[in-house]
Amino acid sequence: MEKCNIIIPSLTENYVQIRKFEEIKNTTPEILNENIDKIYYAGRFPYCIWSDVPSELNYYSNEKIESILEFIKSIQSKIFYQYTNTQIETEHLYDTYSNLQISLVKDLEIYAFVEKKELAEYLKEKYPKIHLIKMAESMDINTSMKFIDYKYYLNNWEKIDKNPNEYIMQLNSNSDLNKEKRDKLSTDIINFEREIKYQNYCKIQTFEESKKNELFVSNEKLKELTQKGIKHYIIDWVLDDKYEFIESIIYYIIKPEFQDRIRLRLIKT
Amino acid sequence: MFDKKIKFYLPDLFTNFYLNRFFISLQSKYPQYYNENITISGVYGSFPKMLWGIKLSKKLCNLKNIDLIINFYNQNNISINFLFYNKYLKNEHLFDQYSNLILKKAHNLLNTVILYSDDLALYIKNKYPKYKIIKITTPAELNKKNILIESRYNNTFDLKNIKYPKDTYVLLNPICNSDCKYYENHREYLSYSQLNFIQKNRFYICPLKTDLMFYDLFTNKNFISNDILKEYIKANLQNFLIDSEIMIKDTNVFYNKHDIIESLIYYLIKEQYQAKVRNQITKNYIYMSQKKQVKK
Repeated sequence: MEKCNIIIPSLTENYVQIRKFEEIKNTTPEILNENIDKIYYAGRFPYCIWSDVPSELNYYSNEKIESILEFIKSIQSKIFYQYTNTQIETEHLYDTYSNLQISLVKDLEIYAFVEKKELAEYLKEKYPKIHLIKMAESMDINTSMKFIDYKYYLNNWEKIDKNPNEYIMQLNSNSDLNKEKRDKLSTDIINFEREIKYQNYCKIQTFEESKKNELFVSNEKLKELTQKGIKHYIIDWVLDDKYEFIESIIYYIIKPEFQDRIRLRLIKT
Repeated sequence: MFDKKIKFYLPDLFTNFYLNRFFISLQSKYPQYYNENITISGVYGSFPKMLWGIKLSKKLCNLKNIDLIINFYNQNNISINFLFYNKYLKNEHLFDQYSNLILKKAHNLLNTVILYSDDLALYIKNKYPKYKIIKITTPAELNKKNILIESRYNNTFDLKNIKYPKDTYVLLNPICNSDCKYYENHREYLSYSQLNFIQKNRFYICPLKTDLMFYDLFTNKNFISNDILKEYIKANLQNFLIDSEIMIKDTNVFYNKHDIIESLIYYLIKEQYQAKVRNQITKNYIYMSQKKQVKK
Protein backbone atom coordinates (compact mmCIF):
# COMPACT_ATOMS: atom_id res chain seq x y z
CA MET A 1 0.00 0.00 0.00
CA GLU A 2 1.20 3.50 -0.89
CA LYS A 3 1.78 5.61 2.19
CA CYS A 4 1.26 9.31 2.83
CA ASN A 5 2.48 11.99 5.21
CA ILE A 6 0.04 14.01 7.28
CA ILE A 7 0.77 17.54 8.44
CA ILE A 8 -1.02 18.48 11.65
CA PRO A 9 -1.58 22.20 12.20
CA SER A 10 -1.89 24.39 15.31
CA LEU A 11 1.39 23.22 16.79
CA THR A 12 1.43 25.85 19.50
CA GLU A 13 -2.28 25.89 20.38
CA ASN A 14 -2.40 22.12 20.77
CA TYR A 15 1.17 21.51 21.83
CA VAL A 16 0.20 19.57 24.95
CA GLN A 17 -2.02 17.19 22.97
CA ILE A 18 0.63 16.83 20.28
CA ARG A 19 3.24 15.78 22.83
CA LYS A 20 0.85 13.25 24.28
CA PHE A 21 -0.04 11.99 20.82
CA GLU A 22 3.63 11.52 19.96
CA GLU A 23 4.17 9.63 23.18
CA ILE A 24 1.25 7.30 22.40
CA LYS A 25 2.39 6.87 18.80
CA ASN A 26 5.90 5.90 19.84
CA THR A 27 4.85 3.38 22.45
CA THR A 28 2.03 1.84 20.40
CA PRO A 29 2.78 2.31 16.68
CA GLU A 30 0.18 -0.30 15.77
CA ILE A 31 -2.62 2.23 16.36
CA LEU A 32 -1.74 4.19 13.20
CA ASN A 33 -3.66 3.66 9.98
CA GLU A 34 -1.66 1.58 7.55
CA ASN A 35 -1.59 4.31 4.91
CA ILE A 36 0.21 6.76 7.24
CA ASP A 37 3.94 7.12 6.83
CA LYS A 38 5.13 10.26 8.68
CA ILE A 39 3.50 12.97 10.70
CA TYR A 40 4.72 16.55 10.60
CA TYR A 41 3.59 19.63 12.48
CA ALA A 42 2.67 23.06 11.23
CA GLY A 43 1.92 26.41 12.78
CA ARG A 44 3.62 29.56 13.90
CA PHE A 45 4.59 31.04 17.22
CA PRO A 46 2.19 33.65 18.63
CA TYR A 47 2.59 37.19 17.38
CA CYS A 48 4.32 36.24 14.20
CA ILE A 49 2.86 38.94 11.99
CA TRP A 50 3.58 36.95 8.84
CA SER A 51 0.93 34.48 9.85
CA ASP A 52 -2.85 34.84 9.76
CA VAL A 53 -3.47 32.78 12.87
CA PRO A 54 -4.91 34.55 15.93
CA SER A 55 -2.71 34.68 19.03
CA GLU A 56 -3.19 34.82 22.73
CA LEU A 57 -1.80 37.89 24.48
CA ASN A 58 1.43 36.29 25.67
CA TYR A 59 4.35 36.16 23.33
CA TYR A 60 6.60 33.11 23.43
CA SER A 61 9.99 33.59 24.95
CA ASN A 62 13.14 32.52 23.20
CA GLU A 63 13.44 29.53 25.55
CA LYS A 64 9.88 28.37 24.97
CA ILE A 65 10.29 28.49 21.19
CA GLU A 66 13.56 26.60 21.46
CA SER A 67 12.01 23.89 23.60
CA ILE A 68 9.20 23.32 21.09
CA LEU A 69 11.69 23.20 18.22
CA GLU A 70 13.81 20.78 20.22
CA PHE A 71 10.79 18.53 20.59
CA ILE A 72 10.17 18.58 16.81
CA LYS A 73 13.82 17.66 16.31
CA SER A 74 13.63 14.86 18.86
CA ILE A 75 10.80 13.17 16.98
CA GLN A 76 12.76 13.54 13.71
CA SER A 77 10.02 15.62 12.20
CA LYS A 78 10.05 18.84 10.19
CA ILE A 79 8.56 22.21 11.00
CA PHE A 80 6.04 23.81 8.67
CA TYR A 81 5.66 27.52 9.35
CA GLN A 82 2.45 29.12 8.29
CA TYR A 83 3.21 32.53 6.82
CA THR A 84 -0.10 33.05 5.08
CA ASN A 85 -0.90 36.59 6.11
CA THR A 86 -2.38 38.23 3.04
CA GLN A 87 -1.51 41.82 3.96
CA ILE A 88 2.27 41.69 4.28
CA GLU A 89 4.11 44.64 2.85
CA THR A 90 7.80 45.40 2.65
CA GLU A 91 7.93 47.10 6.06
CA HIS A 92 6.65 43.93 7.73
CA LEU A 93 9.41 41.73 6.39
CA TYR A 94 11.91 42.94 8.96
CA ASP A 95 9.72 42.38 12.01
CA THR A 96 12.17 41.25 14.67
CA TYR A 97 10.02 38.69 16.41
CA SER A 98 8.98 36.96 13.17
CA ASN A 99 12.60 36.78 12.01
CA LEU A 100 13.73 35.50 15.39
CA GLN A 101 11.38 32.53 15.10
CA ILE A 102 13.27 31.38 12.02
CA SER A 103 16.73 32.10 13.31
CA LEU A 104 16.05 29.89 16.34
CA VAL A 105 15.51 26.85 14.11
CA LYS A 106 18.70 24.82 14.11
CA ASP A 107 19.33 21.39 12.55
CA LEU A 108 15.73 21.11 11.52
CA GLU A 109 14.18 21.21 8.06
CA ILE A 110 11.87 24.22 7.68
CA TYR A 111 9.04 24.51 5.24
CA ALA A 112 6.96 27.64 4.97
CA PHE A 113 3.54 28.22 3.47
CA VAL A 114 3.63 31.66 1.88
CA GLU A 115 1.05 33.72 0.14
CA LYS A 116 2.71 37.05 -0.62
CA LYS A 117 5.43 37.34 -3.21
CA GLU A 118 7.31 39.99 -1.18
CA LEU A 119 7.66 37.58 1.73
CA ALA A 120 8.54 34.63 -0.49
CA GLU A 121 11.35 36.59 -2.13
CA TYR A 122 12.59 37.88 1.21
CA LEU A 123 12.66 34.39 2.74
CA LYS A 124 14.39 32.94 -0.32
CA GLU A 125 17.13 35.50 -0.08
CA LYS A 126 17.58 35.72 3.67
CA TYR A 127 16.93 32.10 4.64
CA PRO A 128 17.84 30.04 1.56
CA LYS A 129 17.44 26.77 3.45
CA ILE A 130 13.69 27.24 3.84
CA HIS A 131 11.54 25.20 1.48
CA LEU A 132 8.73 27.42 0.32
CA ILE A 133 5.20 26.24 -0.37
CA LYS A 134 2.93 28.54 -2.33
CA MET A 135 -0.77 28.36 -2.93
CA ALA A 136 -1.05 26.83 -6.40
CA GLU A 137 -1.01 29.49 -9.10
CA SER A 138 -0.98 32.23 -6.49
CA MET A 139 2.26 33.96 -7.46
CA ASP A 140 4.89 33.93 -10.09
CA ILE A 141 7.78 32.47 -8.12
CA ASN A 142 9.36 29.03 -7.98
CA THR A 143 8.77 27.13 -4.78
CA SER A 144 9.60 23.60 -3.61
CA MET A 145 5.95 22.65 -3.27
CA LYS A 146 2.44 23.86 -3.98
CA PHE A 147 -0.60 23.87 -1.78
CA ILE A 148 -3.94 22.74 -3.24
CA ASP A 149 -7.40 21.71 -2.15
CA TYR A 150 -9.57 18.91 -3.48
CA LYS A 151 -11.57 21.21 -5.75
CA TYR A 152 -8.40 22.46 -7.39
CA TYR A 153 -7.31 18.86 -7.85
CA LEU A 154 -10.56 17.94 -9.63
CA ASN A 155 -10.06 20.82 -12.06
CA ASN A 156 -6.36 20.26 -12.66
CA TRP A 157 -5.80 16.54 -12.06
CA GLU A 158 -4.04 15.92 -15.37
CA LYS A 159 -1.34 18.44 -14.52
CA ILE A 160 -1.05 17.36 -10.89
CA ASP A 161 -0.86 13.64 -11.65
CA LYS A 162 2.28 14.24 -13.72
CA ASN A 163 4.21 15.56 -10.71
CA PRO A 164 2.15 14.60 -7.65
CA ASN A 165 5.13 14.90 -5.29
CA GLU A 166 5.12 18.67 -5.70
CA TYR A 167 1.75 19.08 -4.02
CA ILE A 168 0.35 19.31 -0.52
CA MET A 169 -3.39 18.80 -0.36
CA GLN A 170 -5.73 20.23 2.22
CA LEU A 171 -7.87 17.45 3.67
CA ASN A 172 -10.79 19.39 5.04
CA SER A 173 -12.12 22.88 5.46
CA ASN A 174 -14.18 23.76 8.48
CA SER A 175 -14.58 27.51 8.12
CA ASP A 176 -16.01 29.99 5.64
CA LEU A 177 -12.90 32.15 5.64
CA ASN A 178 -13.01 33.81 2.23
CA LYS A 179 -10.56 36.33 0.85
CA GLU A 180 -12.31 39.32 2.37
CA LYS A 181 -12.45 37.77 5.84
CA ARG A 182 -8.85 36.61 5.65
CA ASP A 183 -7.73 40.09 4.62
CA LYS A 184 -9.47 41.58 7.65
CA LEU A 185 -7.98 38.94 9.97
CA SER A 186 -4.53 39.50 8.45
CA THR A 187 -4.73 43.26 8.93
CA ASP A 188 -5.80 42.90 12.55
CA ILE A 189 -2.92 40.51 13.25
CA ILE A 190 -0.40 42.93 11.78
CA ASN A 191 -1.90 45.69 13.91
CA PHE A 192 -1.85 43.64 17.13
CA GLU A 193 -5.58 44.13 17.63
CA ARG A 194 -6.88 42.54 20.79
CA GLU A 195 -9.14 39.53 21.13
CA ILE A 196 -8.51 38.13 17.71
CA LYS A 197 -10.39 34.87 17.52
CA TYR A 198 -11.45 32.93 14.47
CA GLN A 199 -15.04 33.05 15.69
CA ASN A 200 -15.06 36.83 15.23
CA TYR A 201 -14.13 36.51 11.57
CA CYS A 202 -15.80 33.40 10.24
CA LYS A 203 -18.23 30.61 10.93
CA ILE A 204 -16.53 27.46 12.11
CA GLN A 205 -17.96 24.00 11.61
CA THR A 206 -17.29 21.04 13.78
CA PHE A 207 -15.14 18.37 12.20
CA GLU A 208 -18.22 16.19 11.87
CA GLU A 209 -20.08 18.93 10.00
CA SER A 210 -17.12 19.57 7.73
CA LYS A 211 -17.36 16.00 6.43
CA LYS A 212 -20.34 17.07 4.33
CA ASN A 213 -18.38 19.79 2.48
CA GLU A 214 -17.42 19.28 -1.12
CA LEU A 215 -13.77 19.96 -0.28
CA PHE A 216 -13.69 17.21 2.33
CA VAL A 217 -11.26 14.39 1.61
CA SER A 218 -12.50 11.21 3.27
CA ASN A 219 -10.18 8.37 4.23
CA GLU A 220 -11.27 6.48 1.11
CA LYS A 221 -10.48 9.44 -1.14
CA LEU A 222 -7.20 9.90 0.71
CA LYS A 223 -6.18 6.35 -0.13
CA GLU A 224 -7.12 6.85 -3.79
CA LEU A 225 -5.16 10.09 -4.04
CA THR A 226 -2.18 8.48 -2.33
CA GLN A 227 -2.28 5.69 -4.92
CA LYS A 228 -2.07 8.41 -7.58
CA GLY A 229 1.14 9.65 -6.00
CA ILE A 230 0.18 12.63 -3.81
CA LYS A 231 2.19 12.12 -0.64
CA HIS A 232 1.54 15.17 1.54
CA TYR A 233 -1.72 16.18 3.15
CA ILE A 234 -2.58 18.82 5.67
CA ILE A 235 -5.51 19.04 8.06
CA ASP A 236 -7.27 22.44 8.00
CA TRP A 237 -5.74 25.34 9.91
CA VAL A 238 -8.78 26.53 11.81
CA LEU A 239 -8.33 24.17 14.69
CA ASP A 240 -7.85 26.14 17.84
CA ASP A 241 -10.54 24.04 19.51
CA LYS A 242 -8.93 21.13 21.32
CA TYR A 243 -11.80 18.69 20.74
CA GLU A 244 -12.10 19.35 17.01
CA PHE A 245 -8.36 19.04 16.74
CA ILE A 246 -8.42 15.64 18.41
CA GLU A 247 -11.37 14.47 16.28
CA SER A 248 -9.60 15.35 13.06
CA ILE A 249 -6.32 13.65 13.87
CA ILE A 250 -8.12 10.57 15.13
CA TYR A 251 -10.16 10.30 11.96
CA TYR A 252 -7.20 10.44 9.60
CA ILE A 253 -4.47 8.81 11.60
CA ILE A 254 -5.84 6.25 14.06
CA LYS A 255 -7.28 2.86 13.19
CA PRO A 256 -11.04 2.72 13.96
CA GLU A 257 -10.67 0.06 16.65
CA PHE A 258 -8.32 2.30 18.69
CA GLN A 259 -10.10 5.61 18.13
CA ASP A 260 -12.23 5.69 21.30
CA ARG A 261 -9.35 4.89 23.61
CA ILE A 262 -6.98 7.39 22.00
CA ARG A 263 -9.63 10.11 21.96
CA LEU A 264 -10.16 9.68 25.67
CA ARG A 265 -6.45 9.72 26.42
CA LEU A 266 -5.93 12.88 24.42
CA ILE A 267 -8.95 14.67 25.85
CA LYS A 268 -7.77 13.90 29.35
CA THR A 269 -4.39 15.50 28.65
CA MET B 1 11.21 75.55 47.97
CA PHE B 2 12.41 76.15 44.41
CA ASP B 3 12.80 79.71 43.18
CA LYS B 4 12.55 78.96 39.45
CA LYS B 5 10.00 76.97 37.48
CA ILE B 6 10.96 73.38 36.98
CA LYS B 7 9.41 70.35 35.31
CA PHE B 8 9.26 66.84 36.70
CA TYR B 9 8.84 63.66 34.72
CA LEU B 10 7.28 60.69 36.49
CA PRO B 11 8.64 57.19 35.98
CA ASP B 12 7.26 54.17 34.19
CA LEU B 13 4.36 55.40 32.13
CA PHE B 14 2.77 51.95 31.96
CA THR B 15 3.54 50.05 35.18
CA ASN B 16 3.02 53.13 37.34
CA PHE B 17 0.00 54.33 35.43
CA TYR B 18 -2.37 54.42 38.42
CA LEU B 19 0.23 56.06 40.61
CA ASN B 20 1.09 58.63 37.97
CA ARG B 21 -2.59 59.30 37.38
CA PHE B 22 -3.03 59.89 41.10
CA PHE B 23 -0.21 62.46 41.29
CA ILE B 24 -1.34 64.20 38.10
CA SER B 25 -4.94 64.49 39.30
CA LEU B 26 -3.82 65.53 42.77
CA GLN B 27 -1.86 68.42 41.32
CA SER B 28 -4.86 69.83 39.54
CA LYS B 29 -7.14 69.33 42.57
CA TYR B 30 -4.77 70.38 45.34
CA PRO B 31 -1.95 72.44 43.83
CA GLN B 32 -1.20 73.76 47.31
CA TYR B 33 0.19 70.33 48.29
CA TYR B 34 2.95 70.64 45.73
CA ASN B 35 6.24 72.41 46.08
CA GLU B 36 6.20 75.87 44.59
CA ASN B 37 7.25 76.36 40.99
CA ILE B 38 7.01 72.74 40.00
CA THR B 39 4.84 71.07 37.42
CA ILE B 40 4.45 67.47 36.42
CA SER B 41 5.25 67.93 32.81
CA GLY B 42 5.52 64.39 31.58
CA VAL B 43 5.94 60.70 32.18
CA TYR B 44 8.64 58.49 30.79
CA GLY B 45 9.32 54.82 30.13
CA SER B 46 8.00 52.39 27.57
CA PHE B 47 5.23 49.87 27.14
CA PRO B 48 5.99 46.23 27.96
CA LYS B 49 7.99 44.40 25.37
CA MET B 50 8.77 47.39 23.21
CA LEU B 51 11.93 46.02 21.75
CA TRP B 52 13.79 49.30 21.83
CA GLY B 53 13.45 49.69 25.58
CA ILE B 54 14.50 47.40 28.37
CA LYS B 55 11.09 46.97 29.92
CA LEU B 56 10.89 43.26 30.52
CA SER B 57 7.52 41.64 30.53
CA LYS B 58 5.92 38.39 29.59
CA LYS B 59 2.82 39.98 28.21
CA LEU B 60 2.34 42.38 25.39
CA CYS B 61 0.06 45.22 26.36
CA ASN B 62 -3.09 45.24 24.29
CA LEU B 63 -3.52 48.20 22.03
CA LYS B 64 -6.83 49.32 23.52
CA ASN B 65 -5.12 49.88 26.89
CA ILE B 66 -2.24 51.61 25.17
CA ASP B 67 -4.72 53.99 23.55
CA LEU B 68 -6.38 54.70 26.90
CA ILE B 69 -3.06 55.41 28.58
CA ILE B 70 -1.76 57.65 25.80
CA ASN B 71 -5.04 59.56 25.72
CA PHE B 72 -5.14 60.08 29.47
CA TYR B 73 -1.65 61.57 29.57
CA ASN B 74 -1.92 63.71 26.46
CA GLN B 75 -5.42 65.01 27.24
CA ASN B 76 -4.04 66.22 30.57
CA ASN B 77 -1.21 67.93 28.72
CA ILE B 78 1.31 65.45 30.12
CA SER B 79 3.97 64.54 27.61
CA ILE B 80 4.91 60.94 26.99
CA ASN B 81 8.65 60.51 26.86
CA PHE B 82 9.47 57.11 25.46
CA LEU B 83 12.68 55.90 27.01
CA PHE B 84 14.52 53.57 24.65
CA TYR B 85 17.42 52.58 26.80
CA ASN B 86 18.51 49.60 24.76
CA LYS B 87 22.14 50.20 23.86
CA TYR B 88 22.54 47.31 21.48
CA LEU B 89 19.99 48.03 18.83
CA LYS B 90 20.95 47.18 15.29
CA ASN B 91 19.36 48.28 12.04
CA GLU B 92 17.31 45.10 11.87
CA HIS B 93 15.53 46.00 15.10
CA LEU B 94 14.22 49.30 13.80
CA PHE B 95 11.33 47.67 11.97
CA ASP B 96 9.86 45.96 15.01
CA GLN B 97 6.16 46.11 14.26
CA TYR B 98 4.94 46.38 17.86
CA SER B 99 7.23 49.30 18.75
CA ASN B 100 6.39 51.09 15.51
CA LEU B 101 2.65 50.73 16.07
CA ILE B 102 2.90 52.29 19.52
CA LEU B 103 5.06 55.12 18.28
CA LYS B 104 2.54 55.78 15.54
CA LYS B 105 -0.25 56.00 18.12
CA ALA B 106 1.52 58.63 20.22
CA HIS B 107 2.94 60.58 17.28
CA ASN B 108 2.30 64.23 18.11
CA LEU B 109 4.25 67.34 18.99
CA LEU B 110 3.75 66.93 22.74
CA ASN B 111 5.63 63.66 23.03
CA THR B 112 9.33 62.87 22.91
CA VAL B 113 11.71 59.96 22.70
CA ILE B 114 14.78 59.59 24.86
CA LEU B 115 17.34 57.19 23.43
CA TYR B 116 20.90 55.94 23.09
CA SER B 117 21.05 54.65 19.57
CA ASP B 118 21.98 57.03 16.75
CA ASP B 119 20.44 54.69 14.21
CA LEU B 120 17.14 54.67 16.07
CA ALA B 121 17.27 58.47 16.41
CA LEU B 122 17.66 58.84 12.65
CA TYR B 123 14.93 56.31 11.96
CA ILE B 124 12.44 58.05 14.27
CA LYS B 125 13.39 61.47 12.95
CA ASN B 126 12.52 60.37 9.43
CA LYS B 127 9.50 58.24 10.14
CA TYR B 128 7.90 60.09 13.06
CA PRO B 129 9.11 63.67 12.66
CA LYS B 130 6.80 65.16 15.30
CA TYR B 131 8.72 63.56 18.16
CA LYS B 132 11.36 65.65 19.87
CA ILE B 133 14.45 63.47 20.24
CA ILE B 134 16.56 63.53 23.39
CA LYS B 135 19.87 61.76 23.32
CA ILE B 136 21.21 59.91 26.35
CA THR B 137 24.81 60.98 26.59
CA THR B 138 27.88 61.65 28.72
CA PRO B 139 29.33 64.95 29.99
CA ALA B 140 31.51 65.00 26.87
CA GLU B 141 28.50 66.35 24.99
CA LEU B 142 27.32 69.02 27.39
CA ASN B 143 27.46 71.56 24.57
CA LYS B 144 24.59 69.85 22.74
CA LYS B 145 20.86 70.54 22.80
CA ASN B 146 18.23 68.00 23.91
CA ILE B 147 20.35 65.67 25.96
CA LEU B 148 19.79 63.47 28.98
CA ILE B 149 23.00 63.12 30.91
CA GLU B 150 23.55 59.53 31.94
CA SER B 151 22.77 59.40 35.64
CA ARG B 152 26.04 57.79 36.60
CA TYR B 153 27.68 61.17 35.85
CA ASN B 154 25.37 63.15 38.14
CA ASN B 155 27.31 65.49 40.40
CA THR B 156 30.60 64.76 38.64
CA PHE B 157 30.77 67.64 36.17
CA ASP B 158 30.65 71.41 36.30
CA LEU B 159 27.10 72.59 35.70
CA LYS B 160 28.44 75.75 34.05
CA ASN B 161 29.57 73.63 31.10
CA ILE B 162 25.99 72.87 30.09
CA LYS B 163 25.37 75.02 27.06
CA TYR B 164 21.61 74.57 26.77
CA PRO B 165 20.43 74.02 30.36
CA LYS B 166 16.74 74.40 29.46
CA ASP B 167 17.08 71.56 26.96
CA THR B 168 19.07 69.29 29.22
CA TYR B 169 17.46 66.48 31.22
CA VAL B 170 18.71 64.92 34.43
CA LEU B 171 17.69 61.72 36.21
CA LEU B 172 17.56 62.50 39.91
CA ASN B 173 17.75 59.29 41.89
CA PRO B 174 19.63 56.52 40.12
CA ILE B 175 20.04 53.26 41.93
CA CYS B 176 23.47 52.47 40.47
CA ASN B 177 26.64 54.21 41.52
CA SER B 178 28.99 55.49 38.85
CA ASP B 179 31.82 53.38 40.20
CA CYS B 180 29.80 50.16 40.25
CA LYS B 181 31.85 47.57 38.38
CA TYR B 182 28.67 45.77 37.27
CA TYR B 183 27.09 48.85 35.69
CA GLU B 184 27.82 47.97 32.05
CA ASN B 185 27.12 44.31 32.66
CA HIS B 186 23.72 45.19 34.10
CA ARG B 187 22.64 47.31 31.11
CA GLU B 188 24.08 44.82 28.66
CA TYR B 189 22.16 41.96 30.23
CA LEU B 190 18.83 43.79 30.11
CA SER B 191 19.39 44.97 26.54
CA TYR B 192 20.39 41.51 25.35
CA SER B 193 17.43 39.81 27.08
CA GLN B 194 15.03 42.28 25.53
CA LEU B 195 16.33 41.92 21.99
CA ASN B 196 16.38 38.14 22.18
CA PHE B 197 13.02 37.68 23.89
CA ILE B 198 14.62 35.91 26.79
CA GLN B 199 12.17 35.24 29.57
CA LYS B 200 13.96 32.90 31.92
CA ASN B 201 16.11 34.76 34.47
CA ARG B 202 15.19 37.96 32.69
CA PHE B 203 15.85 40.08 35.75
CA TYR B 204 19.40 41.04 36.39
CA ILE B 205 20.45 39.83 39.81
CA CYS B 206 23.04 42.30 40.94
CA PRO B 207 26.07 40.48 42.37
CA LEU B 208 26.28 43.13 45.06
CA LYS B 209 23.01 41.75 46.42
CA THR B 210 22.18 45.18 47.68
CA ASP B 211 19.06 45.60 49.71
CA LEU B 212 17.98 49.18 49.23
CA MET B 213 15.18 51.50 49.96
CA PHE B 214 14.69 55.01 48.68
CA TYR B 215 16.37 56.67 51.67
CA ASP B 216 19.51 54.55 51.20
CA LEU B 217 20.06 56.27 47.87
CA PHE B 218 20.97 59.50 49.67
CA THR B 219 24.49 58.18 50.19
CA ASN B 220 24.89 57.37 46.51
CA LYS B 221 27.28 59.95 45.08
CA ASN B 222 25.10 60.34 41.97
CA PHE B 223 21.95 61.02 43.96
CA ILE B 224 20.48 64.49 43.63
CA SER B 225 18.79 65.47 46.84
CA ASN B 226 16.53 68.51 47.07
CA ASP B 227 19.47 70.56 48.36
CA ILE B 228 21.69 69.57 45.44
CA LEU B 229 18.76 70.05 43.08
CA LYS B 230 18.75 73.72 44.01
CA GLU B 231 22.25 73.98 42.55
CA TYR B 232 21.04 72.48 39.28
CA ILE B 233 18.15 74.91 39.21
CA LYS B 234 20.52 77.79 39.85
CA ALA B 235 22.36 76.70 36.72
CA ASN B 236 19.04 77.07 34.85
CA LEU B 237 18.30 73.38 34.44
CA GLN B 238 14.59 72.67 34.54
CA ASN B 239 13.88 69.11 33.35
CA PHE B 240 14.16 66.40 35.98
CA LEU B 241 13.27 62.73 35.74
CA ILE B 242 12.43 60.80 38.89
CA ASP B 243 13.66 57.20 38.73
CA SER B 244 11.60 54.22 39.86
CA GLU B 245 14.25 51.57 40.09
CA ILE B 246 15.02 50.06 43.45
CA MET B 247 16.62 46.79 44.43
CA ILE B 248 15.48 44.32 47.01
CA LYS B 249 17.84 41.68 48.19
CA ASP B 250 17.42 38.11 46.97
CA THR B 251 14.20 38.77 45.15
CA ASN B 252 13.29 39.54 41.62
CA VAL B 253 11.48 42.68 42.60
CA PHE B 254 13.17 45.69 41.14
CA TYR B 255 10.28 48.05 41.40
CA ASN B 256 8.71 48.59 44.75
CA LYS B 257 5.65 50.79 44.81
CA HIS B 258 6.30 52.15 48.29
CA ASP B 259 9.79 53.32 47.37
CA ILE B 260 8.45 54.97 44.24
CA ILE B 261 5.70 56.67 46.25
CA GLU B 262 8.32 57.84 48.72
CA SER B 263 10.54 59.27 46.00
CA LEU B 264 7.65 61.11 44.35
CA ILE B 265 6.50 62.54 47.66
CA TYR B 266 10.06 63.61 48.50
CA TYR B 267 10.51 65.63 45.31
CA LEU B 268 6.99 66.86 44.67
CA ILE B 269 5.09 67.41 47.91
CA LYS B 270 5.56 70.09 50.55
CA GLU B 271 6.77 68.70 53.86
CA GLN B 272 3.62 69.59 55.75
CA TYR B 273 1.45 67.60 53.31
CA GLN B 274 3.69 64.58 52.87
CA ALA B 275 2.06 62.45 55.59
CA LYS B 276 -1.40 63.26 54.28
CA VAL B 277 -0.55 62.37 50.67
CA ARG B 278 1.28 59.20 51.73
CA ASN B 279 -1.73 58.14 53.70
CA GLN B 280 -4.15 58.92 50.90
CA ILE B 281 -2.15 57.09 48.28
CA THR B 282 -1.57 54.03 50.44
CA LYS B 283 -5.31 53.74 50.97
CA ASN B 284 -5.84 54.25 47.26
CA TYR B 285 -3.42 51.42 46.46
CA ILE B 286 -4.95 49.03 48.92
CA TYR B 287 -8.29 49.73 47.26
CA MET B 288 -6.85 49.20 43.77
CA SER B 289 -5.14 45.93 44.65
CA GLN B 290 -8.28 44.61 46.36
CA LYS B 291 -10.28 45.49 43.26
CA LYS B 292 -7.77 43.62 41.10
CA GLN B 293 -7.95 40.56 43.35
CA VAL B 294 -11.74 40.51 43.16
CA LYS B 295 -11.49 40.67 39.36
CA LYS B 296 -9.10 37.71 39.31
